[in-house]
Amino acid sequence: MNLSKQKNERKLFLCQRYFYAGFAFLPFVWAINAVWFYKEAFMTPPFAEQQDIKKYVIRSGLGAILWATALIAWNIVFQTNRVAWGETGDDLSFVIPQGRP
Amino acid sequence: MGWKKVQYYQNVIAVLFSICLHLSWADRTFTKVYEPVSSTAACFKRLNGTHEIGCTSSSRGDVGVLHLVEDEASLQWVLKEGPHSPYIVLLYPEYFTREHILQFQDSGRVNGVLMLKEKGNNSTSLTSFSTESSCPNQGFGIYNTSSSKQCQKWNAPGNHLLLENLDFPIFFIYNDTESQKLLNCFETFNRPINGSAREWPLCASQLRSFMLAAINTPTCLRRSSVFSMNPGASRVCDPLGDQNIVASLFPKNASETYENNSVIVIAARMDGASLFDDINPSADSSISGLVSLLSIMKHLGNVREELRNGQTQSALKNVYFMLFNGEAFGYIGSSRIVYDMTQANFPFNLTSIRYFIELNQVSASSNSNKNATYFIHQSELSQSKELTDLLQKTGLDSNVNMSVVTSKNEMGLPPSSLQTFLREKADLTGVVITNHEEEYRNKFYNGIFDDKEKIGFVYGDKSVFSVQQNIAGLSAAVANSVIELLLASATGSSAPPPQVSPDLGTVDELLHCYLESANCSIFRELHGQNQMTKAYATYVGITRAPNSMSQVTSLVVSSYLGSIVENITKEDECWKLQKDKGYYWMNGSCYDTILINTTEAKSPAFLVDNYDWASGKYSTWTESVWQTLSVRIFIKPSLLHEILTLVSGVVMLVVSFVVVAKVNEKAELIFPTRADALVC
Repeated sequence: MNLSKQKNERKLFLCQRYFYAGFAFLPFVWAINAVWFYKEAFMTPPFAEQQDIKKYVIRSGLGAILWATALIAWNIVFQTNRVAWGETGDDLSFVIPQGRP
Repeated sequence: MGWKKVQYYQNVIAVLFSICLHLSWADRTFTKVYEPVSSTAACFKRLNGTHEIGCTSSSRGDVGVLHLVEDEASLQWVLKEGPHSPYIVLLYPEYFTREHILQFQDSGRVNGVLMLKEKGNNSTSLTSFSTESSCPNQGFGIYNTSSSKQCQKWNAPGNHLLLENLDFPIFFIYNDTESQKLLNCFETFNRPINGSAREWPLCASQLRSFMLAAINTPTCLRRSSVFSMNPGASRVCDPLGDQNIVASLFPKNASETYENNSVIVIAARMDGASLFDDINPSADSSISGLVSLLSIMKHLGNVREELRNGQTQSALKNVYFMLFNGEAFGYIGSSRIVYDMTQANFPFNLTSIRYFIELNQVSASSNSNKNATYFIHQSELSQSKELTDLLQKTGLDSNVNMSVVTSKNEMGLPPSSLQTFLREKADLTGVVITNHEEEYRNKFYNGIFDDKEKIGFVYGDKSVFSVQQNIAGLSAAVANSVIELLLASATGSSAPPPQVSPDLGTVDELLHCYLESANCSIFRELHGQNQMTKAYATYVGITRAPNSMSQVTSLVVSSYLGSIVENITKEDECWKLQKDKGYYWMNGSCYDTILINTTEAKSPAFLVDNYDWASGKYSTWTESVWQTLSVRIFIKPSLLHEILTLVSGVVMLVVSFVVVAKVNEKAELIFPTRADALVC
């Protein structure tokens, strides 16, 4: 879909839909939303719906960054502490490595 | 039409060519590169409640340049000076010491160790080799940190390597041809000339012995019970264990109980151990005691009827024979029996035992100047003077000296199954008969070299000084002592007590069966012909795997202590009554084997709920699961060469793409179309 050929109401509708969809634990949808509508929100000449689109793009972007930091933080904590957590660590693992702790 | 004929002939030629290709000698590339080394035994991983021990490789195998370490210079070459690290060390048993192995581990330049047999044909050049600790089973007996006395250095040459955790693989090559392969490869490619290193390519080796378990027993058991689509696929370790054999001389009613001090127990250990998989001859460590006990069983079984009369009047009601399995790993068998006794899960309990006689390492040598001497060790609180006096007297009749070890000896009781019984009942009257007064005479305890040559066994040697004669003499002495004890209070009997004489033939044959070949006459009579050319392994193994050695031993015990049922002469009649009456068809007769039982030899640690794995109360040994164990050698080029090969391959790939693209562009010029050809 070529976004620049769409009507402005359509653009707003899509951006809003993606933003709400991301609340279903879908941070990647937010990331796509932010990237896809970035040009329309900040770089094209102003149009009526641009304010709303900007709002949604910023919020999607923030949401995606928040999720990313949380997942990276959890990943680091898990990788470094899995062995020390003993039984809990094994319970949290899907594939337990063989031959090493 | 001519075109069709050409096509037809082209097809015929193509088919013939491909048939030729299939029929010709084709090989996979890797068989041209790698040379497998067979007849290897791997060091594998075991785990206990708190640690893991043994060796493991990485999952794809460890690769290193071969280097023979036979003197200080080559040792330093591997540790510091050699430019081609990492190395795989080749060495002879003299160099397989604790110091060297730990040096290899610490240096970070050694990826594996290959041990060969002793150099040359003189197999007596090695004076000692034991990877067991200097006090075997420390912590499981009566001498541990909480007791007043410490465990002494019974096994002085022990270097404790059996209990170390090593992070590289170790293999033992027991075939001379394969060893020669490795040595030739080293000589041709790797041996430094005048102290300077050789150039690439060099002879390298890859060792694969990846062990799946890690950390300790509770962890690996927990990981084994994880749900998996393929049942059993998640198993990473198995508990050690097998079965004990418990047999009695006289039958016992299920309802009657034994009074205090009414049972004699004669016991021995039947399992061996070593650092390497599948090689555990254990000639002195356990086979000598096992064969001695089997001979005693045969003696007493023969005179059973004569003893029965006296037994009714005696305070001693029965004699129980126990063969423990798994003793090398924290007294698995005996601790389980003691546990069963305390749980009232056994025909009698500890208070019923009047005498506990254990046969430990009992291969002894004698010569024309003096008889063999056996030593009787006693527990501190035991009152066994009557027994020890009897043993000394009957010993002299059988030409063996029995010497009582006095309490002045600081070393205490040697590591033995009796210690697990003493832990529960400290005043149990127990004696341990061994061939050593203080330190072990056996310098190869629990190791791969504890074989028939070290005890001087020669099959068929019936001379007066042979090891067969001494073990037979000891067995007769113990049997005669037990006979006298049973008949001591027999009154009103004018016949003298029966006396047994040393049964040299049986001992000789049993030693041959357990040390040389399982395809011997005794075993063949019991369970038929088999394909074995060597002896059964003595290692206790894991609980889920059958142990041939204990199975055949229970058959031997059945044939000695079972009674032949006269009126059943057909095999199927005998098998029908197996369940109800314990009848067993062996050796052409139907045996009543109700007196012979096997009990599970699995450590109580795996049965007790919420067992504290760090407590050290029971044995917690498990064995890791592995997939392949292999050794192979190959010629390895330098890293530069390897990179060049890879790069040139990639370049060829790119060039081929370019060529095909170019040819595709000009395809019409190079390959004329049909229409043009036909025009011609």
